[in-house]
Amino acid sequence: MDNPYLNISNLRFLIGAFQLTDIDLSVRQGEYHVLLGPTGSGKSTLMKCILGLYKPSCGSIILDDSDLLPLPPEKRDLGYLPQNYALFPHLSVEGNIRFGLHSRRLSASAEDKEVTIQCDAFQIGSLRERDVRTLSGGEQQKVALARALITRPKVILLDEPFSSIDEGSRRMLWFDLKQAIRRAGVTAIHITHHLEEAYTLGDRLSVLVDGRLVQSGRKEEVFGQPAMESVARFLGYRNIFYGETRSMFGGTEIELGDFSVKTSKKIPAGERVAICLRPQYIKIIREGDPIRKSLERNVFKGEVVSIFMLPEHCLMRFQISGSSSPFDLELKFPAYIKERLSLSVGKKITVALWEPSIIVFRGS
Amino acid sequence: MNRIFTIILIATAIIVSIILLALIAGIVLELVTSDSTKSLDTGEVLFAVKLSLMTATISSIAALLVSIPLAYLLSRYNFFGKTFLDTLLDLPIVLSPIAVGAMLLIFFNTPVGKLINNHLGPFVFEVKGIILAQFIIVLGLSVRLLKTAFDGVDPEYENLARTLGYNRFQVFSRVVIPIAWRGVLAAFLLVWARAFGEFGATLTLAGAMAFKTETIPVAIYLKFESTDIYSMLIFILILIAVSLTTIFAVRSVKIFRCYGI
Repeated sequence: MDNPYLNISNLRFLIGAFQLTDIDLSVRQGEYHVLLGPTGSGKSTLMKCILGLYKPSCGSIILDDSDLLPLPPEKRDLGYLPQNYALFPHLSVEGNIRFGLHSRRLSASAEDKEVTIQCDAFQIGSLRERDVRTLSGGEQQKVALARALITRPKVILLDEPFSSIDEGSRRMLWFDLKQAIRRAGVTAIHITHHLEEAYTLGDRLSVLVDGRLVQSGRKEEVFGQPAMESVARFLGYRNIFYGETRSMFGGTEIELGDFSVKTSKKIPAGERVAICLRPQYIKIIREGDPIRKSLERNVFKGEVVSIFMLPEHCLMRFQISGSSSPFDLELKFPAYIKERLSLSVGKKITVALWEPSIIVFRGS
Repeated sequence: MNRIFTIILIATAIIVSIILLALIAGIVLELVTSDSTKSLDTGEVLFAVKLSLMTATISSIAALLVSIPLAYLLSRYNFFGKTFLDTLLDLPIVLSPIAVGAMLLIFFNTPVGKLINNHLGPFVFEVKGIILAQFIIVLGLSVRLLKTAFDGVDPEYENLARTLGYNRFQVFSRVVIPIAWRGVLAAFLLVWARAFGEFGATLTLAGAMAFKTETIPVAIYLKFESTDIYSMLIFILILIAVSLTTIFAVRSVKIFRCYGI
């Protein structure tokens, strides 16, 4: 990346039995970067290394051309929004927001002005005198954000900011949060294990698995083309299989046991690979319909084993004819398709894999 | 089975309450029926009360000042020798107060002890000795109670304050203490009450001399020795009243917390 604003390289940190290993992360100025990973992957640990609360054993953290590692947390110019917001219970809403002005050494009138600006920006002027323990989750988040932004940090780090907010209110608050960060013009690093939240908020994503940063890039790249099997599994990909390659004319056939998948990718014969077939790219072929070229290489006949109705879509399990597995493929499609194709358990159908969506992980 | 278990719980509470109330009632009954022909020396009572209040206040403030950094250290940091220090601090809690007093007495017979005694003392058979004995006895308790208070403060508040530009000392004074103040106050009250009632170590180091090292527990001992039961009962009732008031104050601090005050 050209001239990153925050650049972490070769960072290592050991805490108990857990280790962050060779972390390389670059964030552009003004970017909303999401650090995504399963629980226990080291996201919060990495965040605490950036904040200066943990001291890495090696590596470097450069922010705006200055080395952060020798600096204590209070000198790093970083904002922090903890998971539980950590609003000081002994201070009112205004007291909490004002608390952050300590480092700016302003006059009393200038402090008042700054507090008013933040209260107006987050529309919390009416809460100024309130006890923070009486606020709702969304109000607490706004106060915590105002407190963090009033210091005018170079980067704000948000540690799972929606974990204490109920599912129904989250989506609306995603947009409010991103808008507030954009308005403040601050670079943000947001950590979460929530895929939808990451995709909605992030300009770029990095995926952390078992203490290693395994993939970084634009969100479409990361979600569309996971770099390795562990990323695919975390991103909720189903239909992950292991097999061995065989040469064939115009591509490679991957033998998976009960069935095989053909791809136009050229892979040497005899190689062990893992493949991932995304459920939404497995198409149901209606009887008599022509099969498109991108689907024709991988057509399977079989039977519907089970159908799960979810609020926005259907998940269907499909067993390929002659297979010994309880089911072979999982398909995902809009709920109306079930009615349109009269799908039911036991129905004999034909499915096809959309070839460009087949992801092959070599060296598995 | 559930019913029997509930009965056992309630019966235990009732029996323990009866035993403790019977002890207090026994004192009151004895006071009413005892021979009060020996007039109570109010001057002596006032001296003992004043001395107890003064020594307990000084020793518990001193213990608190030493315990606050120690308790914070034990609450927040892991370091080599932490378990050793933790165990050492438990010693005055579990050791017999008489043994602690004897250890202090022996210490002041060593070259270092003599040096301290010459420059800061004298401690042996003096009021300073009472304060020192109380200080050593309550130190472990003070650290334990304060550590519990600091453990109750989420370290995330401190992390956050650091990112807002506060150094470690500022975080401690502007975040940790204001959040933990109820725990600190409750700890002070309990430590003060323990110091107020301290006897064993005081007796060994400072002796039992009327109008000199006569705290309320020492006065009880002296009156018991001289079979002045009436005066002894008065001193016991004063001790009970002070102890109950302190415990009530500690409870009130906790109740205020429930109401968010």
